[in-house]
Amino acid sequence: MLSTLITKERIQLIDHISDWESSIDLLCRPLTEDGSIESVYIDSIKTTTKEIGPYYVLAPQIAMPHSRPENGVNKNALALLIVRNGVEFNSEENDPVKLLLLLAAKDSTQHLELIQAISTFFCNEDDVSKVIHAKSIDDIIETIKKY
Amino acid sequence: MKIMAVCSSGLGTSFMIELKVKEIMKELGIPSEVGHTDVGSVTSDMADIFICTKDLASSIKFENLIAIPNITDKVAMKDAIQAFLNR
Repeated sequence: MLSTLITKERIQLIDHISDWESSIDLLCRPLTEDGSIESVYIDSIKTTTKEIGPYYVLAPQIAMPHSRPENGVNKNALALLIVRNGVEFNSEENDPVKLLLLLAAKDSTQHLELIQAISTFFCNEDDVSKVIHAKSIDDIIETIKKY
Repeated sequence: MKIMAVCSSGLGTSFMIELKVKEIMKELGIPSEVGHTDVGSVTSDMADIFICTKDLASSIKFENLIAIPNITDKVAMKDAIQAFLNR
């Protein structure tokens, strides 16, 4: 399930990024380029973050940025960004964030199965750690293919 | 018992919380109905207990609210629910 949506082109692995807004931009880039989302989706995530805080930082090191389907989602899609040195989201308990998984869901019922798979992945500390410390994109694909 | 997981968009985070809460209530042997919704539509008559991420705690002013910092930490979530039920 995850590996069909997180294709090679949608995975990025970097050491450092200046701030959380840049990390959201970079994370979303493959999906705006392939037409899965419109740039308004990115704006919507950033605006809500500024209003209410980093609502998608779910656990230590893990963020799942997302907005509502009507805010520019064209098709169900996921993208993954690993920031090895981490990035601060002002999330007291969970900073620095090293794994960012963008969720773009076309409608709010269709994607339930998908979220179930993501949840199972996030709850497996070993695999989360493997992905964060991966040397290559192929290593990441190998780790997530069972989800 | 009715439990409602709440997040800002009502689709991603709250559903993840719902999945964990369902597992926990089953383990505790407490029959319950668990759902999820967004912060804009939640009303205090929707459930007996509301659960959200810590970031949203200040936006939901219900007395019966549990705020959790880490949604993958099932043990801590279970402890928080138990503490709430025993209070």
